[in-house]
Amino acid sequence: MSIQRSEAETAYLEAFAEAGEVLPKAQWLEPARQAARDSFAETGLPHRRDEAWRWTDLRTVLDTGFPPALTGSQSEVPAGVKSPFTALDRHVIMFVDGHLRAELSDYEGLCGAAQCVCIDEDLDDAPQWLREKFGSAFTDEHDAVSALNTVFLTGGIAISVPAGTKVDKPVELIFVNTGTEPQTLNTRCLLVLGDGAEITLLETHLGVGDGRYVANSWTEVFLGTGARAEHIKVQNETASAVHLANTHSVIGAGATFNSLCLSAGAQTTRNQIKSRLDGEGGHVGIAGAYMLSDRQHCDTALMVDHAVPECTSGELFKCVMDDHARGIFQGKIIVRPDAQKTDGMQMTQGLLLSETAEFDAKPELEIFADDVRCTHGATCGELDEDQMFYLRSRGIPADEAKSLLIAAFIGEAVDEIESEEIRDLVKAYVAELRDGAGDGS
Amino acid sequence: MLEIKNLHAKVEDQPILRGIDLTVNPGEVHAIMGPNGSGKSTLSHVLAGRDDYEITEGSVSYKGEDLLEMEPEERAAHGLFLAFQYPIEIPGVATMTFLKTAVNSQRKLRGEDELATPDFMKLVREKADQLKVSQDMLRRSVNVGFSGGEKKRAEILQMAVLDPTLCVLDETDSGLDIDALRVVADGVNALRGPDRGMVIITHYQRLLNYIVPDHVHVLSAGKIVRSGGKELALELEESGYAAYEADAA
Ligand SMILES: Nc1ncnc2c1ncn2[C@@H]1O[C@H](COP(=O)(O)OP(=O)(O)O)[C@@H](O)[C@H]1O
Ligand SMILES: [Mg+2]
Repeated sequence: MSIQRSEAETAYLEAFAEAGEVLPKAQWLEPARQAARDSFAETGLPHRRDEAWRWTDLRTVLDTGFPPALTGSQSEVPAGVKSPFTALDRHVIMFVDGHLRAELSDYEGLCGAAQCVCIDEDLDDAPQWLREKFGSAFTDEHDAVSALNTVFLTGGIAISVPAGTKVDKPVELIFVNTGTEPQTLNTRCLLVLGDGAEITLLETHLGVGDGRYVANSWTEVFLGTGARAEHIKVQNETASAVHLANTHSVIGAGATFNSLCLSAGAQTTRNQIKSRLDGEGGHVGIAGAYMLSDRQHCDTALMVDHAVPECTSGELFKCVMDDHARGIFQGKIIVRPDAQKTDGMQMTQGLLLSETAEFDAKPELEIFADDVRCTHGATCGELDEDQMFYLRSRGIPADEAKSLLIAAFIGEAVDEIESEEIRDLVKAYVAELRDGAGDGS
Repeated sequence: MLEIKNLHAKVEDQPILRGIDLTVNPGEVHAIMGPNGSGKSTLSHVLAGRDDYEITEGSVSYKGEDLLEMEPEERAAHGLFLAFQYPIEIPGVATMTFLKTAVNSQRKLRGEDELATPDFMKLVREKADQLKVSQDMLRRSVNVGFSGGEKKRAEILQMAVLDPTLCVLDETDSGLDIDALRVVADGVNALRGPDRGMVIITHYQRLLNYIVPDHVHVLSAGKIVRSGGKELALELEESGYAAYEADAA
């Protein structure tokens, strides 16, 4: 059976040949690229008949060609585009339209403590750890988002933190998308932590103006024994953008990976979050927050794989939908036969601010071990009238009362961040986004 | 300052207030007593502006303005304060943030400048000390994890900080032991003054030993069926509400 290629699929297929000429050379990566090309040519973009994509028909979402941005742009970054973490003492690595911009970055200090490799350059001489780990966290399933990223990858960074090293300050990757053309920006971050290494990784995705583009971003984190990483991602793409993201983590024995993903921007967002607990005593925490309005659509497909005994995992998603927005959360916890004494907890909460907003939650447990404790829950509701009345009876106007309650709701997810300084910055950003939304209506 | 005339209110076609008349002048403390379910909390909620109730008849004027036309926040900014019978918990909103937002929202609605943070902190500390509200409580989320007594003290603290001209206290005494009752009563008495009116709603006479009212009213089945001086409270303590419950039927 042959299906009609969509315009977007055709544009991607046509760009395959050109990409081979332009992109960073990497002989060792060629088999993976070829496999990705083959699989995309065969299956194309996912659509609603794919169970994992039933809420987000990417074939329909990408209603025109979004050719990959193969060569770097020298676009200015407008002054108004500001990371929520500007006030923080941190290393900054800046990408504009999918390409690293050294003159806008400042991470020399990081290179002293860790090994950094720019993925924009030829990778034939890439170090062994990079070749070994690159794209290797989850290879079991093919999906189009990963395939396109592998074929068209133009920019990114790979960071290896040696055993025992604690990176002195947070590292922020800023991805600014100027949206001047309908194109796809493909970026990658690979983070490899040696035993006992520690880092805080901030990932900020910012759109400029109202351009329509596709951002395809992939972050992979490997934690050695006893390593610790905190990962905070803030996504505020333009209101007409499409944000497709893979966030993969593989957690070694006694290691801790703690993360927050705030989805506030983009017309359509697809977060594919996967985590595997690979060594005993590991912990993963995945918190998420949605702040959606208008006709925004955000779909998170999350999978936590307990592969070994005595690990803990916790997911908390707090999702706010206004107007006609739609939030989706699909969360699967797998507990393998060996993974006795697993402790897993998943909670998803939706807050609907209008009668036309929607929230779907699909928790799934696949438990193959018998001595485990796994709980999950999903709730969905509106603003509490008693709380609203109480606040208003104290003189707080309705709109401000609403903002306070929304901030408190989202705040529960933000509170999962360990660093108080970063927590406060994220909360301030949430308040700012909410005020902006208030001004507009 | 408050003039309630022939006030009728219903919920889901069920009449609850059935013709209330009450006038409160500056400096006066009125007690409203009555059996459970007589409509005391409904009256307090209607005054504060809860919109679950449909006003079918009557009027409420406050400082010469139509109170029923105002939003709840406007009523507060005009100096009306309701201490809730069941204070609401608001997880994730720190008590201090809440107080500051409330004070400054009211000032803004009245066209006044916001209070500077140090002045605000000083004000809250002073009042909190008087009411034995700990710094720890101020840091915690609004009413979350507070004991019954702590919630009631926190209500009175809000009242003291917001400095209203008409205070409506809905069963502020319920659930308090004798020491907590004294603290709360002292807090309320400290706010008594020639410009301030108070409506103290209570089921029991006990509180009125500490906050001595000028007038006592008995509410039964949505109507004030008897009014008198402070001795009426003592009489009710003796005889109970049975006679009034019979009236209602
Ligand atoms: N929101 C409401 N919905 C339905 N019934 C209500 C509501 N509020 C109050 N009532 C009813 O109105 C009556 C008076 O209640 P309330 O004012 O709480 O009495 P009191 O405070 O004197 O005990 C009760 O019968 C109660 O069940
Ligand atoms: Mg009551």
